[in-house]
Order: sequence, then C-alpha cells, then structure tokens
Amino acid sequence: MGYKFDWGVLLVYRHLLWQGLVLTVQLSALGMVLSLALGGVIGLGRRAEAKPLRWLCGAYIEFFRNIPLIVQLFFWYFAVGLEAFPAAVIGLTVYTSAYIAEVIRSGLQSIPRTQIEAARSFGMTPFQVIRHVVLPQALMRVIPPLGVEFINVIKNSSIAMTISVTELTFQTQQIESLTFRGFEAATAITLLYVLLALTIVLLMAAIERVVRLDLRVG
Amino acid sequence: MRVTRILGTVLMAMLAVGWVGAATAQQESTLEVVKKRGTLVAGVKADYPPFGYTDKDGQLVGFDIEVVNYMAKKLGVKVDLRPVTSANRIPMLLNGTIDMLAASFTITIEREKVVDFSIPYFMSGGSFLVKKGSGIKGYASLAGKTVTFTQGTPWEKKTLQEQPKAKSLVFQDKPQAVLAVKQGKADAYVDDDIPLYLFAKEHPELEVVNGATAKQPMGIAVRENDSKWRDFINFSLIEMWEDGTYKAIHKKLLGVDPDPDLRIFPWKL
Repeated sequence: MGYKFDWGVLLVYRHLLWQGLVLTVQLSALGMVLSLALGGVIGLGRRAEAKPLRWLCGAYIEFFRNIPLIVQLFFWYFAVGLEAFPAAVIGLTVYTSAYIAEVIRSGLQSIPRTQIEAARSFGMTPFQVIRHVVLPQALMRVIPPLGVEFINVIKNSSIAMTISVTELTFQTQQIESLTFRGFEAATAITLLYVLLALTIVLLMAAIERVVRLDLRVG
Repeated sequence: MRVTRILGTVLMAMLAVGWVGAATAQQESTLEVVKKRGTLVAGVKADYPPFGYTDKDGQLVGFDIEVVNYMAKKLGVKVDLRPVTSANRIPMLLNGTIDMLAASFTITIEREKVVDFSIPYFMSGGSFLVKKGSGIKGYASLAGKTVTFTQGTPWEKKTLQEQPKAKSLVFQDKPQAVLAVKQGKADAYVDDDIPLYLFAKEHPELEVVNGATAKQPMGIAVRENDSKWRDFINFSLIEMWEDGTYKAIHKKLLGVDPDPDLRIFPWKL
C-alpha cells in the first residue's frame, strides 16, 4: 500500500471530532423524538374517520418524503431564514416524520378488521378496542421499522453540513482539509457512526423485549 | 511535494531536449514563424472563467482569448486556439505545439526556470465579498463579524489567524456562501478574487474588497531565449493598456475597472 497512515492526527484533532459528535447526537436525538411525535400524529391521521383529514395527512407524507432532504434544509435555512441548527432539526424532523407516519400506518393496518369486529361484538368500546386489541399488537410490529428510521436520522443528519452545521461529517472534512489525512478521518467517523447506529439497535431491542414481556405477545 | 519534484525533473529534461533542438533551429524567431504561417497558435484555458472558458455556443472566450485576439489582429494573422490544462500547458509550449501560453498562468521562479514570461498582465489574490456600504476594509474590520468560507480552501485558517475575533460559517460550495452574505447571515465571504468579481457582477448589491492576500502576477509564457517574440508580446500588452482595450475587456468580463492601484504597464520612456 502506498498510503502511510498517521493515526496521530486523530489525537491532535480529537476536539473537532468530539464537537462534531456532540452536535450529531443532539441533532439526531431531537430529530428522533420530534419526528416520532409528529409522525405518530400524522400516521393516526391517515386512519382517521374524517376523509379531509386522511387526505391532508396523505398529502403531507407524499410531499415531505418525496423532496430531497438537502432541498428541504436549504428551504428552512435560506428561504425561511432560520438559524442553521433549528433549520436542520426542523428539516430532519419533517422529512423523517413522513416516513414514520407510514410505519405507524402500516402497524395499525396490520391488525385484521375481523379482530376489531370481534372485540366490538364482545361489547368493548372503540377506545377499549384500540387500547387492548390494536395498540399492543401494532406497537410490536412498528418497533423494528422505527429502529431503521432512527438509524436513518443519524446518517441523514450529516446533510446539515450543507447549511453550515459543523456536525461530525463536516469536522471530518475539516480535519482532512487541515491535514490532508482523509482516510484516517473517514475511518474515525465510520466507527463513530456505526457506534451510534448500534446504540440505537440495542436500545430498540431492549424496548422490544420490555414490551414483549409486558404484553405477553410474540 | 514529491510530485512537484518529479514534475520539475521532467520539465527540466524537456527543457534540455528543447535546448538541443533550439540550438539548431534558433535562428528564426517565433514572430517570423507566425507571420509566415499566417496563424497564431495559442494555448488557453477552456474551463477557467473569466480567463478562458467555453461559452454556450461552444466557442472559447475570455480574458486570455481577448488578449490573444488583439495580438493576432496586430500581426494580421488568424488565431488557432488550443485548450490546455494546468498539467500539459508547459510541455505543449516547450514541444512547439503552441506559440504562446495565455492560460491564467501565475509567474513563479520555478516556472521562470523553464519558460520565459511576458510582463505581468493580471494580478490575482484573495479578496472579501461584502454588501455594498458594509464598511469592511480588511481583516481589521472583521472583529466580531461573521465570515463565510467554502470548506477545503485555505481562507478560513488565514482569516482566523489575521482576525481571531471573527466568527466563521463554512459551506460546501460557493453559491451558498454568496447567498449567506446576500441574506446577511454572514458579513463577508473570503475567497479567490476572480470568482468573487463574477459573483459581484451577478449580484449588484455586493462588492469586492481587495486585500485578503498580496496579489500574484500572471504572465504570458513563451519558449526561452526568443527575445523578438517576447518583445512583440510585451509591446502589445503595453499598447493594449494604453489604447483602452485592456480596460474595456476588464470591464466587460469582470464588471469593474482594473484596480486603480494596479500600475502594471507604466513603462513608457
């Protein structure tokens, strides 16, 4: 191999990696929590009784998930004129919530109508049907795909560097432009991203286990 | 560093070969050759606006091309433009493919060792792109201001060295940095001055303030030891400056008059 690795640059510029990591974690965590809340509401809206509401939520999903994230970030930052970090959080949230809404919808739809009819014929109220029949089963089914969306949030947060957010990928390129040591920096952030993604995987697995025990299903 | 050294060696070798060739065919100046041939063959850039680039009709245009055309007109010959790259431009001059090299070529001592340069005809350096009337005059006035850069350029480091109190805002591409200045998200954008001039031309509310670095001279390169040919080029450049052609081209391509501090051709005795 012609390239001589010099891992020392990572030590020298560790403060840049650390700053980038902190920003990426903040951005991703906010994006996950907010997009889960928003996506949950929109996903429920897709199953609402009122037709206009169903249509509105469908339009929201198709609109925000089909526009590239980078365009949405430019929109919030340059067109709306928000500060860089809020623009990134909002862009990431709105974009991801459209995907999460679809995950929620598919979870709700996976419960056969016959179960609901059976529960109703036992004399359960609609609220009881949702609380005791639909939600427990739907929750189990949406946890794995939600994990996928959360991992995507982490990776998508790197696009925030196009609107001057100095997150992890940005700092890597900064190290590269300061030292011309691109391979070392790229290796470091690859490991950091994998670490973040694995954290999510483990967290989701733990949640799944708790829910499974709690509900005695699956 | 190693690449530069190898390149240097190759160039020196080429020069040596060229010398052997020149020793036998030195008699005739390129000036005579061009006149006899009826065509001036010039190496120009095809990808570097505004010096040499391809317009939407596929024609080579730009500052360097205007300079070449001026000289061909003076000689009464046709022009044959050959696109060159930064890597092949010196070899193409040395092996005789082209008569002159007008390719946004910065004059350096290393290059002077293998080619001869005309007098400088353009100065280029780092500058600030700011809103008109911003009052920003240089690094000193950037204390506490937000300054934008594109990642991978040396300007962020340089600016923070000169003005540690500046806040930096870094984008991936030039257009976003320009937009940030336009929208007031940043007070100044520091980069190479030539693209900045083009941006200022497109956005009339912006202007270029010089002085981020000392300017470096650009010259037209010719083969070594061809005095007649180099004299012709130098005199043509001086004439261009004096008859106003230079100023007109500058205004047309960069949107501004040549820098008044720039006295490139005052050599008239």
